Amino acid sequence: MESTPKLNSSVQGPDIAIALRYNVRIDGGRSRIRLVSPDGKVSTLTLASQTTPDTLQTRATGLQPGAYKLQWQVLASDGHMSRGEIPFTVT
Amino acid sequence: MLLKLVDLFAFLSVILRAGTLVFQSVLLGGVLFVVWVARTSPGVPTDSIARIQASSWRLLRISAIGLAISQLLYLYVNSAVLMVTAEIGFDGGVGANFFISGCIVLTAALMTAVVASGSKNVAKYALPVLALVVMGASVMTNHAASRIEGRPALIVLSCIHELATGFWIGGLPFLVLGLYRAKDITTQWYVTERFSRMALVCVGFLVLSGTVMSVLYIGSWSAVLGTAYGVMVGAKATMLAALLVLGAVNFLLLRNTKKENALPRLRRLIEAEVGIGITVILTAASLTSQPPAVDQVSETVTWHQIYQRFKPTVPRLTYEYVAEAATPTVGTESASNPVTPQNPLIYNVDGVPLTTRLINNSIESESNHHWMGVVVLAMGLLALLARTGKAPWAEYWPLLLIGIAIFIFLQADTECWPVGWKSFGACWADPEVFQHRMAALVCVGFAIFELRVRQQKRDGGGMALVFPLMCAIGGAVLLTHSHAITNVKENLLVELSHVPMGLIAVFAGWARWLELRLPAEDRRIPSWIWPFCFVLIGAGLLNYREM
Repeated sequence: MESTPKLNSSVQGPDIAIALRYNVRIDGGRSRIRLVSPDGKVSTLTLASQTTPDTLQTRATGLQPGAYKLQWQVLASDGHMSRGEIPFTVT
Repeated sequence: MLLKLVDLFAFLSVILRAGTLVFQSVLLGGVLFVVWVARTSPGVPTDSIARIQASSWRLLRISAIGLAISQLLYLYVNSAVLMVTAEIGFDGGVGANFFISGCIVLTAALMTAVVASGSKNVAKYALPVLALVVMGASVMTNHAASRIEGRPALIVLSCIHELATGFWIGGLPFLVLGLYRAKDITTQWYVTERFSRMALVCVGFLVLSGTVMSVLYIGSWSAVLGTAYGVMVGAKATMLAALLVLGAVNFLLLRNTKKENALPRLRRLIEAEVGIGITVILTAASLTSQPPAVDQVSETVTWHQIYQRFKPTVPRLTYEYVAEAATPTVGTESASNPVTPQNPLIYNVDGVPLTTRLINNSIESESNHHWMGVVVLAMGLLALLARTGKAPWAEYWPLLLIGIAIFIFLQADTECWPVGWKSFGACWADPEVFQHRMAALVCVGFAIFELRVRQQKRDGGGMALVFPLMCAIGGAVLLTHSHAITNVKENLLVELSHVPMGLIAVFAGWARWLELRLPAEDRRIPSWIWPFCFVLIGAGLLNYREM
């Protein structure tokens, strides 16, 4: 799996583009990306329409400097669900 | 709490997927059996074939209903997990691929049950179509359906693989049943020969499609042992090899032995084939819950890490825990700094910090496994000794199971009486203690039970078959499980120790089954195999490590 921002990377805020690319076809309508803020607040990000079957894209805006986490959960075309986290820092 | 519930449902999902695959295979095998194998033929008694057909139609209906039920439950569990974790309503989950394919399988299975109960002339045309619908919909929830590259080829290979599995392994229960129902040798021979020819073709397709898919999904030699997917494929291949050995013996019996001598042996060998075959399908269910090895390149465990974990070491038979903030002597990485929850400087292979509590949990788990290893090794050695016929006292080896019960009673819940501060009665309220005590009681009961069986020298009675079945089921449970998506490498290393023990337990169970079921003159080889398997399991437990 590839991601923007990368695992444990630092990115320039306050607005960032988020893109996750998987090894399999993803059901975008039934997948979720959530952003965990430094204060622990969780917000579900609105996903853009899929440009390719293996990617999910969205944007997060107005981010203050600090440690964030992306929590993703995807439903693959074959019915398997996976989830994971991508910690990153906004400078 | 929610994540724990999701993990539990993920495990349930694998179990239900396993049930679905088993029933699906039996359905496919049943359709081929009623439509092609058990056909009337000149020279074969009509009433005998009619008896086989009647029992086959019944088993086909049962498998169709079983498939419908397991598919319905699978749909419920998977939908519930999706709805909770993705925060969507029921209508949002309805359009998901797995929901659509599940509904198709459910409908086709119910239609199969209905069609198999009606006119047999209609059924013979409708059933192959329904079987293909079941198989096609099932492949929609296979890894092949979600691949980015080579998708059409992988879907075709998966179809061939599932069809060949169903026709061969799924057809075996129908053959066993048919051989019991047919009372004359002519019919038994006729059905066995027809099935054998079909099975030979299926094995060819199965091995070919399986090999190509293994190459495409595993991708490298290092991933064969370095990923859970590779290990599970290895387990499947090992069991397939055992099935091929049994199949080869059947083949030779069919061609080189008189019918009246061959058939009693064939029946027993096919019983073991059914058991191992179903275990292969259960393992396949576990495999489908796991990402292919080619997708886990960065999470592949190296040969060096495997060697470090499994190199023989002295068993840990004492419970020497690490004190808080002490300097431990264990761990895979640096052990030169104090380990506290605030300062965890030892890491496992996934880079997860190990606190004192985690280290002590592992020490306790390793010691428990090693003590179990001592007992199981002793059981195996005594059973081998008993097999030589020179030490009749060694026949009492099942008494060692009582040793396991005592161990569970004393060691599993150290806070309880007689070693802990909680009273005997108060501990019953704890569900975990309750489970441990039940397990201890089962061990005691099983020891007495197996001892009585051995003293009575009952060869083929139902009681004697409980022990091999328990072994085989225990092994199958070790091979059928969900896979964690975190701590991937650490979980793989645990799996690398459990999977071989599961495989050996399956072989031990079916070897003992054959010892009991084969004619007396053929029991020599299986009677040596299962005690030796116990020795191997004991040795494996003695070298079990979590750090």
